[in-house]
Order: sequence, then C-alpha cells, then structure tokens
Amino acid sequence: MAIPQPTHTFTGSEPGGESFVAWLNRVRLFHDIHKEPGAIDSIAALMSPLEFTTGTTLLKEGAEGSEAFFLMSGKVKVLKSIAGKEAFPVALLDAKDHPFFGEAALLQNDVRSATIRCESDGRCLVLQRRDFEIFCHDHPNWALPIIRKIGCVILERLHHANNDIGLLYNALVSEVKG
Amino acid sequence: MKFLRLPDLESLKRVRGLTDDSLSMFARYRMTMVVLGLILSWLGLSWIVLICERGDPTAQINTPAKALWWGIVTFMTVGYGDLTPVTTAGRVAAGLLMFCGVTSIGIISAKISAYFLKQVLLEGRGAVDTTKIRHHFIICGWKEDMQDLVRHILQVNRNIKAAQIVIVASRTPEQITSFKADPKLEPATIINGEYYQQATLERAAPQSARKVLILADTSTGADGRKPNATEADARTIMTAIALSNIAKSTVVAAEIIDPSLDHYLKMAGVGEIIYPREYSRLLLGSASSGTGLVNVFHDLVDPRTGAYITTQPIDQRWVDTTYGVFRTEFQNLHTDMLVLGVLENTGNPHQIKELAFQEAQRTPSIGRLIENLKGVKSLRCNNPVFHPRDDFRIGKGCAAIVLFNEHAASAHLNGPDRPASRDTVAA
Repeated sequence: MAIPQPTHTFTGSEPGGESFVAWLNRVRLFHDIHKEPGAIDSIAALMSPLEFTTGTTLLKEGAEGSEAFFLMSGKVKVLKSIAGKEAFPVALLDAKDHPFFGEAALLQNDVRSATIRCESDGRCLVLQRRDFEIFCHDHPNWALPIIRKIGCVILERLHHANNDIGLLYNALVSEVKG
Repeated sequence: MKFLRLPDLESLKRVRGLTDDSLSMFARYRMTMVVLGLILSWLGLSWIVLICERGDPTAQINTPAKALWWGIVTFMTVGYGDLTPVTTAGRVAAGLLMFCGVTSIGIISAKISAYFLKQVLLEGRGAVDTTKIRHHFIICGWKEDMQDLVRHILQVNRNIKAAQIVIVASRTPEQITSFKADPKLEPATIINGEYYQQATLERAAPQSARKVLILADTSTGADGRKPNATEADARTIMTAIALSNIAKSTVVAAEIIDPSLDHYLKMAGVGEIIYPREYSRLLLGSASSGTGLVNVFHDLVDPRTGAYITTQPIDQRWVDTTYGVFRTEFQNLHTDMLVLGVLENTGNPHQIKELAFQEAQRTPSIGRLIENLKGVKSLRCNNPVFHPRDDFRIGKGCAAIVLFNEHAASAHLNGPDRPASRDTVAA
C-alpha cells in the first residue's frame, strides 16, 4: 500500500502556521534547539502537513522510508512482529504527548522497524530526509543536537534489543541442556 | 483350461499377505474372460443353429430374433420348448449350446462361492483389509479375559457398536474363533499381527480411528510365550511411539504396569495412562483404612448402580469466567449433577500443545514469548483440578468433572433438562 504523500510544502503564510511552530517546540527531538531563535521556524518550514483518516497505514514494517512523522492530532497504534509472524500492538501514541516516529529515516534510507496505523482521524507533519540534509548543511549547529537526539533514541532501542538477545541466549542454552 | 481351476487352501495361505483390492481385481479379470466366453458361445451357437434351420421349411427358428431367444432359453437351461430345432445339424449345435450353458453356470456358481469362502477364511485368520474403516475403536494387545473386557467396553459405551471395534493382537486362528463364539462380539474385527509393529498398526487405520487403547499384554502369545511385565511395558511404549508417528491426532489411552516408565508414554502424547498395579494397591490400602471408601469406588465404577463420575464439556461462553460463577449456574441448570471440579486441557495432547504453541507466539515481546513457551512445555493434558477456589479461571478446552446418578435423575423429573447420557464419556 502506498504511503500517503504530503499534500504540499508548508510556507510561512499558511493559516494556523503559528501553531505548527508552537507545537514543534514541545517535541522532544528539538528540545536542545527550541531556545535558539529561528531554529524551529526553519525546520518547520521544511515540513508538510498531512491529514489522515482512521485505518490509514503511515508506516509499514519492512518497507523502506525516507521521512519522519510528527503527530499533531489524533491517535496512532504501533504494531510490531517478531520474525515475520503476526504483528501485535506494542503501543498507542496520542498526539498530546508530541510523539514522533520514523526518525531513523532522517539519517539514512532505512527499513521501517514497526507498522504505524491510524486509530483516529488526525494530522501530522512530515519531514523528508533530503530536506533535512539541506537543513543540516545550512545549519550544522542546529542539526547536530537533533542528530544526537536521534542517536539516543536508537541507542535506547539497541539496549532493548541486547536485553532480548540475552533472554533468548539463556532460554536457548537451558533448552538444549535439557 | 487354467481358469477353470478353483482356488485351494494353499493359494489362500499365500493370499493372506495380499490386500483385498489386488486379489479381487485378478478375480474380476478372470470373470470378464468367462462372461465374454459365455456371451460369445451363446451368440455363436445360436447363429449356427439359425443357419442350419433356415434351410428347412418346417423350421421354427427362422429369424435372428427367434434364434437369440431360443439360444438364451437353452443356454440358461430353462428350455421353455416354445421353439425347437428340427434339422439334425441344428440339433447337434443345440446340444453343444446346452453343454456350454450347463458348464458355464457351474463355473459362475463356483466363482461366487469361492469369493465368499475366501472372505470368511481371511476374517477367521485376522487378515482382513481394514484400511478403509472410519471412526472405530482400536484395542492393541490381549487380555486373558478379553471377551469380558470387550463386553464391558460395549456395555459402558453405548454409542460404540461391536462392528466398530478393531483388535490388533497376535492370536492363533483357534483363539480368534473362540473369541468370536459370542454372537455379541462376532462383528468385531481382529487383525492378526504384532500390535507394536508399525506395519501391523497401519492395517488398523489408526489415523481415522476415534480412540486407541493399548493394553499391557501379558497373555500367552501365539508363539506360546508369556511376556513379563517389562516386555509388556516396552511393547506398550513402542506402540505409543508408533501411533504418535502415524496417527498424531488420535486420542490414545495406555495401560502401564511399571509406573516409573510413564514419562515415555507422556512424551509419545498418550493422554490417559492407566496404572493397574497402583490402583489395586490404592484400593487395598483404602480398604485397610476402614473409611468404607472401597464401597464408594465400587459403586462409582459399577455400571449397574447408575452413579458415576463423568466429564461434561464446558460451553464456550464460560471460558475466561471464574469457577464460582460457572458452578452456581451449572448446578442451577443441571440439578441432577454435582460439579466436583474442572478437567483442564482436555482432548488430544498433540492438538492441545499445537494450539497452545500458536497462542504462545502471539506477542511482540521476547520476554513474554519465552514465558509463554515455558508454559507450553509444562502443559499437562487432561489435568484434573478438584474443588478449586471460586476465583479459579476456566480456560479454553476445559471440561467439568461431575458426579451423576442416573437413578436419582429420574426423581428430578420436574427439571427442564434431560440427564446427560453416559455416551458423552466415550472417546
């Protein structure tokens, strides 16, 4: 199923454009730069709003992607599957927590690690990797904290995965031992 | 003429290894030849007579139709006499036709009797092809009092007919005949062979049977030897393993003498294990305790008293509810039964484990997955839980253990429910 494409690129004179910036201020990813004047505005200028309806799949596990999503309103469900088996819900993300997903795609064209399905109608902001790369080139001092934050998120996941490997290792050894 | 020879006992002995299919196909081929020969001789000789008679003005047989009619009447030795040949040549041909007819009828009758004789002989020797029967009850092994045992099984399970019982055991033809002397047991099928060998088991079609019962066979075998307890148990285990290979989804119950060997049976997926030595010891023990428990057991087990413990399947709507809620509802519904507890994980162990295994994988978390899989490993099938607490959760595949009294049930005639028959116990 094709990922819905952003409808248009945001320009500053968009109605309700002010609220985008205010919203993005609270996103954890931009925590280190939200005090910098003009930083959030520049990055907001790169994003495009996307309206979605219940049941739309924004991200498909295993598919390649190159955009990050910032949820502005509505709810989405995160589904994961182990070893290609049936996908099970892992978490429910609510827009009021300012969640974001797909951020690893900002670093490189990566395979998605979970499926994101919309549980209600809503709206999110989409940031393309190529726009982000231009931003990094133009404003490296602002880009660095963002990339560091993405790195932390990935590290967290890595720890989790290592934990799981440890569990599997022990279970397998005790199984074979009998 | 080779195909006039009737099958004799020698060839029948050789036949014992063949299946019904191949033998009857050969017989049918022969039959086709014979039938073809009959038709040809009838047509041919009738035609010859027609030619002979045509010349003569006083002839009665002067059309092909009349010739054919006369031919069949003569061939089948009916001889109405409405038409007769008048020429000498015609009469000679007629004589030949009569001879062919008489001998042919003899051949056909002999063929038919031989077929039936063969069937009866094979049945008597326990060599019948049973691979096509379905929904039968298989007993592996033999007991010295086998007749009593099978009679008891038929009495206790009223929905099993004698014809559905298949016994696999190594018996001499005399033993088979004396077993079948009882007309009630005559319809049962006996497969003669070593029950613990997979090839013999396959002849009983266990994969389409409803249940298999493996007896601890310490009876004197066809070779005159009496196996000891260890040998009998080893054979039981071999049978169980063979069954788990060829008939995974059939419910198996087995009798084991040495209780310490029961884990082999559990590994082979045997859902119900019977410990005859332990039971008799338990009964003797409780008899010595003076609690009067022996009479309790006796009445429960004796089909004549009408009181017995049985299991009732639990309806889907009670799954995931608590035992307390279920029990009150159930008792209100069935005033003639007393709920004693819950039997968890009923059914075929292979299937239960399979379902539990699939259920265990329905999680995205590795930690939870490992926990679930450990749970599947320690799953105990047909696990009775007596008088659990009211908050005990009723899971999928549970049945209720109930005490039922048929005679008391008739006193509850006011109740809206008919008492559940014993038939629900079987299989």
